[in-house]
Amino acid sequence: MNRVKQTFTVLILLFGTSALMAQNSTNTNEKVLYNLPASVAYMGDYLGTKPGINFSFENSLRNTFLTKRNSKMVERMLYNPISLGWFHHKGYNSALMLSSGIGLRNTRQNGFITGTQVDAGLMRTFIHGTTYLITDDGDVSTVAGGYFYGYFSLSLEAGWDFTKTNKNLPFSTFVRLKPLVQFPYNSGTLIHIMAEIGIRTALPFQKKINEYHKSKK
Amino acid sequence: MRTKIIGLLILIAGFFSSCSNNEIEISPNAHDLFSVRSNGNDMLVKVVGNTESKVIILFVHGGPGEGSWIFEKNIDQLTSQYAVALWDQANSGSSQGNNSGDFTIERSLNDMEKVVKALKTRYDDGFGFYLMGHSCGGGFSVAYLAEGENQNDFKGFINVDGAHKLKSVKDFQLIELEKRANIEVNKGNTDPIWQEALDFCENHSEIKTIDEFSELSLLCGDATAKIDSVNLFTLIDPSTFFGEYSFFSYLSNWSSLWAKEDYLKQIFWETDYSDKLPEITIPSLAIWGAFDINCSVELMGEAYHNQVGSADKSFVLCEHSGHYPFVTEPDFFTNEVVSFIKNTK
Repeated sequence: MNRVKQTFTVLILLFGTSALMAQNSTNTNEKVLYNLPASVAYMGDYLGTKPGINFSFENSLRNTFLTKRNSKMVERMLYNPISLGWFHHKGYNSALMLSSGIGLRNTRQNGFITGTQVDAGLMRTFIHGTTYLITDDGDVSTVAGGYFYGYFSLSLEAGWDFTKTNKNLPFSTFVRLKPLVQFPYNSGTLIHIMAEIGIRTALPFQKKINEYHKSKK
Repeated sequence: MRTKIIGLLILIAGFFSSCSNNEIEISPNAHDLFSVRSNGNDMLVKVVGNTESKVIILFVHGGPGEGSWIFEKNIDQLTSQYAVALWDQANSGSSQGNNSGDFTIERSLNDMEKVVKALKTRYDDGFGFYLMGHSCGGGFSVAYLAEGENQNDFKGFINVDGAHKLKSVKDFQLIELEKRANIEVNKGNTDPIWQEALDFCENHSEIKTIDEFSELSLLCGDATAKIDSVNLFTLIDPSTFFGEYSFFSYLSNWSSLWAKEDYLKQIFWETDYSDKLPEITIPSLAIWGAFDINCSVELMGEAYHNQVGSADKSFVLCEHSGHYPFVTEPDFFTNEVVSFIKNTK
């Protein structure tokens, strides 16, 4: 139980510190052009053992630069991700997933990234092999096996943004742990524990968003 | 742009349609997956093993909701001889749907009828079929075989610790648990589970709720594992979680099926197929764990064997097993099944 509490505390400290930084701050605000971030990741169910892939575009909503008392700066991006994913669980099913959500990512001056993201989406499963449909009269036909489901997911991300330290490396890498709840699964819900490892870069599509600068007094 | 999107969708559709395969594999080591849609549920059926033998054993798992994974983990020797069709019943194992609806035994039997039809459609070229039912799957199998001409689809029935008298399972469990606990305590066995078992039996002269029944069944299983003569076994290992089987699907289905009180009450409080047994006339093999507390040898196994109508019938006790003889004595179990099939196919 203590270990659970410790883990929970570490996660709160890791992903929740940005909320505390807004206290006692001075603010400026301007509209700035931002490129569209996009990512591609290996995404696998059962902690990454059932292979898949995930493409994601991140519609930036707001970027905040927080300067702490020790002059270190943290960039906090609020974004709306749109993702298309697929995974293959041999002997069970494959699934196509489309989702959207909201994410918050902190990038430190040295490039270290932490982030959280919540998504809601639609999943279509494809059962492997032929699916037979048999009428009560005994007529046999085949149909496309699998169903549509809804899902919610929560992602915890850590990574490295190389652009902070080297402009010749215009991308960042990340790993994600993504618990996902698929519903309605028969008469319950089905849990997935997805793991992702991927790269993110900025595409040459630009959008003006609010950029805030906040610093501690 | 629109053409590109349509092209991409066609490509994706093509990829997924390529996942479907109507071809069946006839080999000593077949691995054929298909599913049967019934009542809003796609039930997975995996045919593994030696399809060259032209013999397929359709396994009907127990639970309800147990899935076929426990059986699958222990059948390497059996599948080297014959093929086994591992069927995950609706709302069980890896079977899926987004609207499972109401559950009744009639629906379960209707599902079984469709699975048999699909199996015989897929393997229509000179195959012989056997039905093997375990635990409550044994009870469902009895009901299915006794209906109409169903038993003509099979060359024999293998009843593994099956419960044809489903409504008496809980009463028999209380009797067996108390009997075994007294034997162990009198032997000087100080394991606290036996006192726990005696206390449970003393406090529950009758099982009235699903929760009490679940508690009793789990206690019977735990107690069985403490009997010296029963071989030890491990069900959960890394392959359980990371293998082909969707373990989370099993967990989800198990918990949601056991929340269906009306279905469970129908099975374990109202159903008795004793009167159907004389109608089963195909060859019958009953295999029972000698220390089965969940499904009594004496009260269920011997009663089945005595009442089944088959002229060609045999009863085999697995001396080092409880409720799962195919797990605890896989060699002995396989030999008995192979011998039965050789004599009847």
